Amino acid sequence: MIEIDRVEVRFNQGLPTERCALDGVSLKIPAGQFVTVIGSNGAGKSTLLNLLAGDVMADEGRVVIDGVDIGRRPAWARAREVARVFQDPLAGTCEGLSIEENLSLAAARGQGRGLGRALDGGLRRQFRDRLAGLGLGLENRLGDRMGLLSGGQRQVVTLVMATLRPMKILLLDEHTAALDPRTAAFVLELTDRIVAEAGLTVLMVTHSMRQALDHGGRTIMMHEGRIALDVAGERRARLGVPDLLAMFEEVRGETLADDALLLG
Amino acid sequence: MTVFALLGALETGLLFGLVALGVHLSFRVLNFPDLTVDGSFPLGAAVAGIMIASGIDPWLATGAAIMAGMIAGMLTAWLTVRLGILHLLSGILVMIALFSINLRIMGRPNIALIGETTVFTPFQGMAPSHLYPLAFLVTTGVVMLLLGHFLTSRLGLAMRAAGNNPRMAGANGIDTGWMTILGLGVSNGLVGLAGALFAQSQGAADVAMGIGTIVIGLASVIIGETLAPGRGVIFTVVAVVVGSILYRLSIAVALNAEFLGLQAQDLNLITAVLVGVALVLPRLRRRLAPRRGRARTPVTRTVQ
Amino acid sequence: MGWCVKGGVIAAVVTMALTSGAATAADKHIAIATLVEHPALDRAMKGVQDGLRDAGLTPEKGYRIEVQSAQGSPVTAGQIARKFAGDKPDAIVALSTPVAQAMVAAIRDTPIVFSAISDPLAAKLVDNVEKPGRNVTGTSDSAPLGPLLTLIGEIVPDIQAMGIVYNAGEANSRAQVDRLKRESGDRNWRHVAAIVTKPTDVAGALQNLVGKVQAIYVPNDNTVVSTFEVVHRFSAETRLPVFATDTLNVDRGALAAVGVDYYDSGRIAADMVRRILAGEKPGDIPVALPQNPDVAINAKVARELGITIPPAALARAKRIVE
Repeated sequence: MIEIDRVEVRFNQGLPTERCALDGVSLKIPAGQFVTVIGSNGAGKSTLLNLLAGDVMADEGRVVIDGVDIGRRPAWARAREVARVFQDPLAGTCEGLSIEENLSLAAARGQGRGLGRALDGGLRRQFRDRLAGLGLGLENRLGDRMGLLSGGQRQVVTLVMATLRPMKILLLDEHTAALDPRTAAFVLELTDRIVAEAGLTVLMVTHSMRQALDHGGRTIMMHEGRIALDVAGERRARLGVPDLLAMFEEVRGETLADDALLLG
Repeated sequence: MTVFALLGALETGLLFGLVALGVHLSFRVLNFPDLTVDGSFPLGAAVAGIMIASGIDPWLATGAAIMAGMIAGMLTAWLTVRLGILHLLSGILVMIALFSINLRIMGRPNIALIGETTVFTPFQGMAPSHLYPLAFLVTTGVVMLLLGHFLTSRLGLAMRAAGNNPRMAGANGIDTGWMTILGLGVSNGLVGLAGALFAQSQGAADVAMGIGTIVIGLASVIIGETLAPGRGVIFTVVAVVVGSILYRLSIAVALNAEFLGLQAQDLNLITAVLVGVALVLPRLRRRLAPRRGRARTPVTRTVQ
Repeated sequence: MGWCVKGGVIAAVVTMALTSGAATAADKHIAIATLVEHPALDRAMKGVQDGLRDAGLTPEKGYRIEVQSAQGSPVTAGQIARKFAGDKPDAIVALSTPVAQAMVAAIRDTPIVFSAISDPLAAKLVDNVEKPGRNVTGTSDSAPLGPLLTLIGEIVPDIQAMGIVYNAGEANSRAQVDRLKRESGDRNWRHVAAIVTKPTDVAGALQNLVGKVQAIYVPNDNTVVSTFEVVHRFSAETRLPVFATDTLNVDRGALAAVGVDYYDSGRIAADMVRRILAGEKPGDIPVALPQNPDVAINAKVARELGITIPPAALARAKRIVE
């Protein structure tokens, strides 16, 4: 169970540019749930994700995973519980290291690293198997430098890397936003497959209302640092994008004007 | 040049190969331009020198020199990681501080070690002209093996990731701050070792012997990389030491340059020219290739 | 293809290296090495070269004289030592402590004559100044400070404290300051140290001495001597007399100096080379300690400062600058 308890995050405190990125947000995500998060720019969805990841610390409130308050831990110290795929396809892998070296790094996420070999026959077999299932031919290029792969390929590898070790929550940070439509579709389909197979708990931030409704089982809409909408199950399954819009207007008493959100 | 001078260049090149390995670790692997080495090289010499001159076992003294270098490196990294000081400045601060600290340790600017028992004394019965190159070959060889083993271990891979993509490293559970501190510790430990060995082979520890160490290290690393561009960890470790040897060879050539009509004062200029040629060589090679009648292959862009 | 080119270059460098510097067997070879281009070392070098020439050890008479500079790096000095070890010259002249140490550590069987060294014993170049015993001898340049202190006592009779400006990181300077303390003996002057690390510190360090001292002493310190004009200006402004060990400084504004002339030192070293080539063993030649101190006084500066030099002091001066 992932729990965010009355969290407030303020930026630029004391300065004229002070703003409240998260304004008393509370959220409970049970294990195995796939949550999508949408909102216009500045709504707080990225801050929510960064809060869970450890890049942002709460000024008020708690972040609790399975009863343990992890709110004060830096990002690297949460790696056993939290896995993440960045928006930038180049950010999730080390360009100067080989594919198998990158996978090895991910395979050791959350574990102690000593002077044991980073790569051996067993690990290589394991990596080959995982990559073969993708149908991209990467399993034959384990020794290639990551920098030789395209952005889309690197994002696929990042996704595989994130799921090599168990985690309490997988954070997907608009992970298809920087990809072309065909690759984006491939990555999303792969995401659904991997999540379903392993029953992962997922928080996916997306800029597209379409995507938010098509994937996962619960959708949260953020607005001005608060959760404006939270729909799941049956009610959600019947929604289309215009319905979502109407609900939003009803709740907030104002119309949404973010083109990217509406057209995406 | 005599075989003797050639062996001398080889020997000094191997010794400074330790410095080159240290600089490679900080500058390339960790992306941390570390000027501490100008201070940690004489620090190693100072610690070993004062201990040996006081009659302490030279192996113990050399070990202490390694520890001293490690502490200096970890201090520089700590200033950057915990206090947020820019890496270049941290290195400069520690380097400056070490100048005074080294004087304090030695008690005077120069400690003569001629005639003292050093780590080389037990071997002095053997043919002297072959002694030092062999000793340094073994030492540097062992260090290269250990470093290669380390960089391909899980911890070493984590360190390389921390330098290549700190954000990704953090997302995979690597404490990049600690990697930097550990890495700079190892790097300057190597440089301290080189300083201690150099003082014992040269016959003196002198406060001025560190000036220009970072330049020597960088020149060796760059020459080495030019020879073996991006071919993997083990290859690069060897290439960097070879770069150090070639650098010393260029100086040895420059010392014999009277036949070209050049004078003793031109030594640095000649060395710079030789190193410059080494750096330009890859580009020259690329320009020469098409003229040899090869079909022009379209340049494949790496798709990002 | 790339390896061919690289291999070819490496082979060319090594070949060039191995075939360079060949000498005819009949020549006698004298190899000289210095640390860096610097006034004192340059004077010593000139003394060595003039001395060799005047002793008849010239290229025309079959003597090849080679000069190498380590460009300030003790590491390069080591490589030069290796080169000399391989070239096996008939005699080696080493100027400055790091160079001499590198030579002595690397070479056991070729005669080495050092010069421009302040303390050969501390530098472990020789164990014994009377009879060095091995293959090393030379000239020491630590001027006896007694005559200088006497001179100071005569010129500034009411002196109570003397300021010393120097770079603690220079071996020569440390050695001279320690000697000063030892040879001050029963004179009850206090010493006030003004330590610098680089030339730009000198002005500030001098300012700190105002009001605390009646005279200032500058040893043979590369750092301070390189900006001696600053010291001179300070002396003129504050009317504080400056004494030195290097007589060249008297021309640059010191009131008086009692020193060893590096040029003379170089000439003595050259004479030692002559003796060695004539058959004497270096181990039998005692290390030459400076005998007759070289006293220089600047009368113009004396007038600037309003100081009268006692006639007895003037009489001892080898050189008076106007």
